[in-house]
Formats: sequence, C-alpha cells, structure tokens
Amino acid sequence: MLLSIDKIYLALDTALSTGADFAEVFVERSLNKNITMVQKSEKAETDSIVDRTICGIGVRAYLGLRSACASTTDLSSEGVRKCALNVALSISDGKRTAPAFTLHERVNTNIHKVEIVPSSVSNREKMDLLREGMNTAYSKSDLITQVMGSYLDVDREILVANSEGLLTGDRQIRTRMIVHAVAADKGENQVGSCAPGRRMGLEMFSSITPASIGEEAARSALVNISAGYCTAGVYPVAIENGFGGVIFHESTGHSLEASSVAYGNSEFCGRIGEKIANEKVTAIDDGTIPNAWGSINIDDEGTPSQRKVLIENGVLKRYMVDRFNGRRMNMPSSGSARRQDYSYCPTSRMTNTYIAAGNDEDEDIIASIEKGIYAKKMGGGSVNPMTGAFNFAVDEAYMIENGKITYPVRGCSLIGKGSEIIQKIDMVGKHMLTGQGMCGSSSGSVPTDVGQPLIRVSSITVGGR
Amino acid sequence: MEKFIKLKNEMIQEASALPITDWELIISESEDVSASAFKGEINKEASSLSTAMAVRVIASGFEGTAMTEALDADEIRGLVARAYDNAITGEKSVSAPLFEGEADYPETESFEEMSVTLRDVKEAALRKLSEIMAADGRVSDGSTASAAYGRVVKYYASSRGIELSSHRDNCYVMASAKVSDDEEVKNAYSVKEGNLDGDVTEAVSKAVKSLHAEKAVGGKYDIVFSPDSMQQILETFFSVFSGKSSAYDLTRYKGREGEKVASECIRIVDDPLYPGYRCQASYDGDGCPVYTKDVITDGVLNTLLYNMEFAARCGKKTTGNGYRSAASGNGGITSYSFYIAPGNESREEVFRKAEGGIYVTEMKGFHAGANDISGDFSIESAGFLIEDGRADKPVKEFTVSGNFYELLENAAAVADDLEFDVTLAESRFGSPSVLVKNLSVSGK
Repeated sequence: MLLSIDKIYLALDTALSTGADFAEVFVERSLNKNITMVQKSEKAETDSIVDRTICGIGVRAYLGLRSACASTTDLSSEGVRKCALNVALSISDGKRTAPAFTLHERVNTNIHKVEIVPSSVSNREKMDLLREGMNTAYSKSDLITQVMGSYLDVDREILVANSEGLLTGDRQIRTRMIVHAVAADKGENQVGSCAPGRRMGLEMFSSITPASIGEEAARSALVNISAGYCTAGVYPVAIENGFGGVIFHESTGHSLEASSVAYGNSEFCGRIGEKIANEKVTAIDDGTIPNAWGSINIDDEGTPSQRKVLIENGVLKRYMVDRFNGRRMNMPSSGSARRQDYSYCPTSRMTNTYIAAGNDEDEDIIASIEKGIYAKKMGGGSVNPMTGAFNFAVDEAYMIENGKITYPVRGCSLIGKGSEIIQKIDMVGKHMLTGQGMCGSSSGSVPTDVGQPLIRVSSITVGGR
Repeated sequence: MEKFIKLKNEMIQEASALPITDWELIISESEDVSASAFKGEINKEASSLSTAMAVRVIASGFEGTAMTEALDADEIRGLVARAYDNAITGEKSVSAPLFEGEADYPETESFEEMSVTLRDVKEAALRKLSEIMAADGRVSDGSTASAAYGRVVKYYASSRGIELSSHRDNCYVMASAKVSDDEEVKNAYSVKEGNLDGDVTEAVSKAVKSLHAEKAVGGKYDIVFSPDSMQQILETFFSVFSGKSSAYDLTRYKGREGEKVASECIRIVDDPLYPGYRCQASYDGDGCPVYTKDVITDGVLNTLLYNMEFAARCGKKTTGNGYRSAASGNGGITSYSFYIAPGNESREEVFRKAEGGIYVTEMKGFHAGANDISGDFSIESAGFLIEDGRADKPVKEFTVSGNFYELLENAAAVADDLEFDVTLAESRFGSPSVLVKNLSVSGK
C-alpha cells in the first residue's frame, strides 16, 4: 500500500477533528522517464535523460460548500498529521461532528491492459525507438534540417480513501512519443509535429510505429515550408478528424465542466434539456475507452470513470462533475475529478472527449465549400468559459476553392464564441478519430484525448495576414 | 541548512559506492498557502509543503539526472542509482565541467520575511472580493478574489566544492471581476505582488470598459500592445534569446551579436537583481554567479543567454543564466527580470502616434497561436480603438498576426509604463506599452 493504513486513518480523523463533514486523502507515487534528443546530422544526440519520482499526499476536507486542501511530501506520521491538521484548522474551529467510519477496500476492474511496463525496458531500447522515429523524419527530405524528439513514460500509482469508508487505488501507465521536424528554406523555419500517446506500455509502438510518427511530422513540416500566409477573413471551415476535436474541447467542453458551471461562470449554466448545438452534434466524454490516452479506471476522488453523453443531437444532456462542485450543483460525481498530482486540488476535467460520427460523406463536406479553409491539423487552444471566447491554432491548413482543396496556407488561427460555433457545426462526417493532448487548467496538466470526424463549421473568423 | 547537508552526505555515501566522477545536487523546499473567495465566502483554500531533490551525476564523461520528492534512505539510494543508470547509457556527453573556483557572488537586497499565514491570505481574499464588489454596481456574483504566499529555500552543492543556499518569499492578491448589464457579461483580472494590500479594483474598471465591444473590422492597423500583452509576447518568444536555440540553429539571432536586429527604441535587459524585487538571484542553476546585462541596446544585439553547457558548445562564456529545477530535474537556460526598458513618452503620447490603430489589452492562446521557431504568431485579442489620442472604444473577437523578429524591427515607440507579470519567482517578464506599425488584424 502507498501509505500505511494507520497513517490513512490518522489523516482522515485529523482532518475531521474540527467539524468537517467529509475528508479525503489522496496518495501518489509516480515514476516518470523523459528522454529528449536533437538531430542535426546522421545521428540524433541526447539532450537530456531524466527520471522523476513524484511522491506525496493531498488531504482535503469539506464543510458544506467550502473545501480546504493541503499537500506534503513528508510522509512520516508527524508530516501526515501536520498536513491534515492544516486542513482541519482552516476548514473550521469546532469539534468533530462526522461519525466514525471503517475503511473497506474496493478493487476496480482494470480495463487497460499493459503488456510491457516501461520500467522493465532499458534506456537503450527506449532511445532506439525514439531514434527510429527521428531518423525517419530527418531522412525524409534535404529540407528537413533538424528534428527534436521526446520519449515519455509515466507509471502513476494512486490511492484514495475518504470518510465515507472508501479505500481504493489505481495504477495508470502511459507512454508517448513526440517528434517535431523543422523544415528550412530561404532562411525560414517551419515545424511539423506528431505526438501520439496511449494509456499502455511500450506495446504502443507495435501498432503506432516510430517510423510512422517521424513520417507524419516531416510530411507536415514540408507542407508548411511550401505554404504562403493565410489571408485573414471569415470563412466556412472544414476541420479534419483526430486532433481537430480540440475545437469542441475548447469551444464547449471546458464550459461544461463543473468548475465553471457550479459558479454560474459558464454560458451553458442551467441549460440541461435545451438545444445548445446544431442537431448534427452529439458529443461524448468517455473515460472508459480501453488504453486511450485520457482514460482512467477511477478518477482522482476514487469514483469509477464513466461514458457520458454531454450533448445528444444538439440537446445538452449532462455536465462533467466532481464530488465537491457536485454539492453546489446538487449532482452526483460523474467520475470527472482529476489532478496533475497530489499537490493540486482536484476539479472536474475532461477525459476522452469527442464529437460522435455523423452521416455526411467527407467528399460532400469539402465539395460544399466554395471558398474556405481545410484545417487538416489543429494546434492547441484556450477558452474563457465565462464569455465563451475561444481561440485555437491551425498547424496545417489548405484553401478550399470551388469545392476542392487547392494550396497550403500557414499562420491561421480560428476564434469565436463557443455557444455560437457549436450551432454552426452543420455537417458531420463518418470517420471519428482521436488525437492526444495535455489539457491545462486549475488542477494542473492532465492527459486528454480529443476527437471528431471531419466537420464543417459554416462560418468562423480566421486570423492570418 | 542542516537537513540539506544531511541529505547531501547521504547522497555522497551512495555515490561513493559507484564509479561516479562528479555530482551536482539541488534541493528546494517550498511552503505555499493560498485562498480564494466567492460570494462573500472563502470557497477554496490550500497549503502545501514540498521538498524535492535532483541529482546530476557524471560517469565516464557522460551525465544522467534523476529527481525525487521522497527523501528516505531507500529512495536516495534509488535516486543515485537511476541517475547513474541514465549516465552509463552513454548518450548524454558532458560538454562543460561543473563550475568551480573562487567566484564573486553578487549580494541580493535583504528583505524581512513576510511570515504570512493561511489566515492572512483568507482575510486578504475576502477583503479584495468586497473591494471589487463595492467598486461598481455592475460587478456580479461570479467574481472571485484570491491571495497566495510562497516561501522557497534553495540549496546547491557539487563535488567541486561549491555549496550555496538562498531563500525568498513573496505574495500576491488577485481579483477576477465579472461585470454584467442587461445585455452582456465580461470579465477581467488584476494582480499585484509584494504585499496583500495591493489595489486590484482595476479588474473592475477593465471589465466595465470592455462592455459592449464591437467586433473589429479586419485590415492593417497600427497596434499599441499593452504592457501585459507585450510581456506575454516576450515570454512566448524568449527562446530566440537562448544559447540553446543558437546551438540548435533555432534562432535567427545566432552569430549576430553586434548587429542591429531591432528598432533603435528597443532595449532589452536581463536583471537578476532588479531593485526592490523580492525574488532576486545571486547564483544560477550551475552554481555560477549572475549579473545584470543588456541583451539588446538601441536595437543592437549584445549577447544571447548561456548556461555552462551551451556556452561551451557555442564557444562563449556563461552569462549566469543556467537553470536547473529540483522539482522537475530539468536543466536549461532561464532569465530573471527580463524586460523591454521603458522609453520617455507617456502611453497617451504613444497613442497620438497610432491614430486609427488599436490598443491591444488582452491576448489569449499563445501556447497554440505562436510558433517560437518561425517567430510567427496569430493571437485572439481584444482592446480599444485609438481615436483622438484616446483608447476608449472597446473592440473584440479579432486576431493580431505577425512575426516576433519583425515586431522588434518595426517597433515605432516605447512608452514609460513598464510593468512586470506576477510569478513569485526569480524569472519574470516585463514590458511597457509598445507601438508597432501596420500589423494584420482579422475580424468581421
């Protein structure tokens, strides 16, 4: 066990000692490996090899609609007691009111099989995989002058116990490779990237080969170096599947998290049952997809992960709710509480979030646009949930003219208001695909998948030159 | 200090059992308290105590690094073993020896410790919330205020006989004001560091001023970037000033020291000892002394920023900008108070040179909309149209696009209103308002 049972009781009982109605302890031990390399000639050279051990506890207590949390790396009895006492003293100054409890351990079904645990593989083998991906990119063209690569693995063990008697845990193993290829021409540099990750071990590379990762990064860099600047304007936009799903993640997903909704700070507050999106839009957050990057067996409050239909045929069905914000909303947790590590207070976050496949043919979507943009690869983005104003970058874009994809353009960004954009998603293709990202918010950076089929947004402001 | 020396001795003992030629140890211990207020009550409060230790070892001319937050004897044995294992993979060759010798470390200003408690930050958050609620009738319930305090003790030791320690503490108050009238909701924030009494009601005036913004019309505009906007641009493109980017051919400034790379009105300074700032530095992540330097003077590039490793690889001397984090184990190049020096004109005088332009006060999504390798950016923005030398008419939902290198070349005026971002750390970015002519704006 990550923390002895007497220390778990010590943390919970101490946190409850001044009158809190609920207490929770979260224990984490994560081993991370990060290898980065740079390639400017035949052989990639190593930039860094770092091992990290993240280890600590987070104690939290609620009293009504208030919460207090504290964290420490000191796991001695005195360290644990002091951390829990900080919580107790900040939440209240009375006497214990919560009843005595007994912890009963729950073992969760593991839906994410891991065949090759990263710590059982040598540095050398990991580096060889990364080199293979980088070499493929580097040797693709003389215009590729440089390749940067990272290999990352995480082996995260967590334990959650609370004053309702819950004692449970999970082991979350993730592996990822990131390749950035730099193409240079006439003194200019352009980048293409590919960054797949899975909630699995090194068996990931038998289905997603390092060579395919390098190939894709180089392809995208070569497109961008040949592209002229995108002309600013308002256009219809076809957004490709995979990481294109970031449009839903930013424009709408964040505004459906309890962290905004519970405080009345989302444009979708109090609108369950209302039609908020085009009827073509069905959107799902599903943390139970086997081995997907954003999947979890349980969330960071110990609640089993769920598949949640957020929007069905345009109608708002559910929010993503954590235990604490659920109190304010009178809603149960949807298994959405996440935290980067023990030192962050958890809040509601996305897992694998996507627009479900529709009925339109990809060719018909492109053919329907007289003048517009085909956004093949999206970059990241951000949103202000209060106003719904969002932005995101397009990493690889093309003009569409008279229903045909013509030439590549670069430097595009898309901006708008979430509630307006989801009304304007008026065509949805049949081929759903996901892409991986790290989502940053108040509880830190967590792995999430975004996804969608090819979609058409009837008009959106495109930034460019 | 005593417990750090004890950890060092435990580490040395573990290292002595392995064929390690050199080692470097970094420890940081931090304590933080924070609270936020919502609807007249504290809704969130947190405190944390963390210790992290990173060790870099050199064996047979190769280096490896590992870090941990678990500091028991077993873990320290594992830590040294993992760092050693990373070294003997024989991949990361050592480009520069560890720093050694007599060094003249600058003295930082001494500040009295603040000794702020969780109770203090809770009171401050509630006080700031009531101040913004009282500032204007349109401030509504979704507004929040928060306050935080952090204290860090850092320790550096190496097998070359260097042993250094430092400590710092600082705090901030912040408000996010949500204002609404019958038609619209807007929010804006304000943050002040250095004490818990800073005036953050500017969040309210900023939000109120931005109500009923029109969508901007696309076209070419003269843009005045607010200090906050320009700080973000400088931070986003910081890597163009880094010796690491130079070593990897990822900055156009490589080898251009002594050349004019920016408009004459641009001076960029990196100052680890910025007067009055509570988070000054006297040594860097390599254990080297730090100093104040002009990176660009009157548009001419003086130097890029180097640590020991990349100075050696580029044939330069370190500029004392080495970075190594005990919390992540990562190393690299950092800056301190890194800022565009203020000019002599007021903001209003700069506005008069930008008639018909836009004062950009809000820019979002730099992590996605900017490319630090090409220098290109295209960023969601909001601000005010400049008419008759005033910036009063709010505009929204547009992007400003350009290229960082060209931005510095084409800067036409720099105001005297220097502001820094709030980080509670040695590294922060600062800028005054800066006028850049003829940038692309997309809008309706």
